[in-house]
Amino acid sequence: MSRSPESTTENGLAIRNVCKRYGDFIALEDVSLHVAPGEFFTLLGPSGCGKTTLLRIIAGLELADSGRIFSGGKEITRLPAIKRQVNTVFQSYALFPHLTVWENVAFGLRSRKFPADEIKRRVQRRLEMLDLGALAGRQPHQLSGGQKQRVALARALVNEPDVLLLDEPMSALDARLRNQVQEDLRRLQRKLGRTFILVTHDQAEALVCSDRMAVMRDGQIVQTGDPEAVYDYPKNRFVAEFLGVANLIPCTRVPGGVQTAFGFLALEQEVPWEEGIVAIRPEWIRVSENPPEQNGVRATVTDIVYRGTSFELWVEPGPLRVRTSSYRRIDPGRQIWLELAPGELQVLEDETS
Amino acid sequence: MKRADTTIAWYGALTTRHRLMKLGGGLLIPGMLWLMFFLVIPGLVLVAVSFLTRGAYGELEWTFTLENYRRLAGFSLFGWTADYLIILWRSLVVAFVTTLVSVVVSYPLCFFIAARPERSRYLWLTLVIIPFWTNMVIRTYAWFLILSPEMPFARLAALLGFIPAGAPLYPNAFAVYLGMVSMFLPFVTLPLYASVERLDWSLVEAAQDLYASRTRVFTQAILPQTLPGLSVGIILTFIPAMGMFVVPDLLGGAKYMLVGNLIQQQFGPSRDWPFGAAISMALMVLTMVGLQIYRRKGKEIEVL
Repeated sequence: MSRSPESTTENGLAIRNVCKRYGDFIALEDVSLHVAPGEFFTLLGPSGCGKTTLLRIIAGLELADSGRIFSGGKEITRLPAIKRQVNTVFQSYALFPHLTVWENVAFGLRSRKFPADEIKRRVQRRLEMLDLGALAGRQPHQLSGGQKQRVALARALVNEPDVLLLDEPMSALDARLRNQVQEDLRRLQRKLGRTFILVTHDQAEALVCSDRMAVMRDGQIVQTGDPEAVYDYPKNRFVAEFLGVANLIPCTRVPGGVQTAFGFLALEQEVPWEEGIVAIRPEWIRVSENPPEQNGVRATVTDIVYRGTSFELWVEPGPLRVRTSSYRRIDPGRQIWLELAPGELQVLEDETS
Repeated sequence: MKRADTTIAWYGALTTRHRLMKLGGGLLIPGMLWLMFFLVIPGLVLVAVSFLTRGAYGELEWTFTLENYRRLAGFSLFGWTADYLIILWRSLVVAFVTTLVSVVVSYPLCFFIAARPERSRYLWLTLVIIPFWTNMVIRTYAWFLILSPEMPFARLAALLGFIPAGAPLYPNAFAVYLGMVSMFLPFVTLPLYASVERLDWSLVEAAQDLYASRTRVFTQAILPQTLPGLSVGIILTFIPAMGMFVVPDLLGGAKYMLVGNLIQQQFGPSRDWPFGAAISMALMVLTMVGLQIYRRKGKEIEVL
């Protein structure tokens, strides 16, 4: 266990070497990360990757087997939930069904025995901020999914937490509403300037909302960074495939680049292995009638899928998926040139042998 | 011409309104007959009998009188006495306390069982039910053995000076409560367990996340969720506890008579059916009043 002295002087939330197991199952394996004050941080990963466990450990609803947690420079590893300046928006929202919207939002302040007029003032402000003023007297069962989610947000935020935890808060919303709420949530966080930590398995949500994100897998953090960095420079095959769509091209190292099934590709990056994978996003492959100067691949269109904002081409040779801008429909059977520009090819860590 | 009955879809079957009503009516008949013969008619007979007069040999005389109710209220040839009212009041208190103790014991018990691994839960529930496999009278007699002077409980009580040395721990109020609670505990535990097992723990966590004290977690996150099971348990306990006579008869003795014993006495040894009927009516009214109060209080708790 590391006891680096700087960890106690850091602002924001620091997680140091946290481990958690349930029987034989390792939920978290030596997880460390730092979330700066006022940052919108996202934990992204498939179900069972440990992201929710980590969130619950931060909330104090679960205890880490080992490791330490600091908030604002103070250690909170062993503090119970009720002593932490951390509030949670639960996945199911967990609104109290027998209380009205107003009473739900007032719950935390009442627990802490705030004076009545202070409670009234604060609750009123939060309800207005989240556009819930007209619903104050309703019971949770009279609310729509989006309204419930806003009540859950108001109920947590009214306590003015150092850190707001959001456990898959959009999973119960339909797709259209989800996009709207993601943007609202981001705007709200900007306005409040509080630390938000969001747990999600939805990569689009992570990209839209976060200042920084951590991609998790099997109880470990695979890659941390701002959304653009993680999307543009996936470290390995898991991140490349989990975030968006990636063409994975198996290849072997040759001087100046790699040799693939459809020829030589020049690369900008160093290649650390003999046999491995390079990746390229479909939208980064340029389609043209004439051969490009570098990294050109002659291919036949085998299938075309209309996606609304773009067309998706399946081409041969190779398992390549290519996205073109929307006005270009290319009929299957046509021969085209693809440009896999050296700057767009990302060398993944994974070795294949 | 007869109006054509339109075909309707009913849970996947095609039928007509008329046929559905006929089917429903047919299925209801046995239950209705049962209730008619064994509840409604005897109930009406009871009402009638409570206004009749007892003959010299315990037979019913068809002269209308309010005497039975006057007597229950304590008026007799020798002036006014509160004896019967005390018995009624005591029954109410015993039923209330029995219910309360059963609830207080059941909550931790239910949470304990619900926290067991799935397989052993049924074992624990079976242990709760096992006493029911024994006849009620025999079960009550078993307390004689447990509370007898030779057993540690009576010895301890004697040592502490509650009872004289060598005396049993019965008959007295304590023994009645012990017997009553052990009799009715499963009636609270089983329905409450059904609610506790389905408990949405995220509400408990939400309450804790929102700085709730233990009391507040219970009243705001647990109680409202377990109210359905709790209500069933309370009703299943309170009503029969009001009329229970075996337990107080055996463990309470003559000095701790409850209304159940009183009624049984009238229909049994005293052969005073009209008076017995009058007490039964009073018991019914009292039980309904009790339930009504509970319903109103229950609503208050819900919005607490």
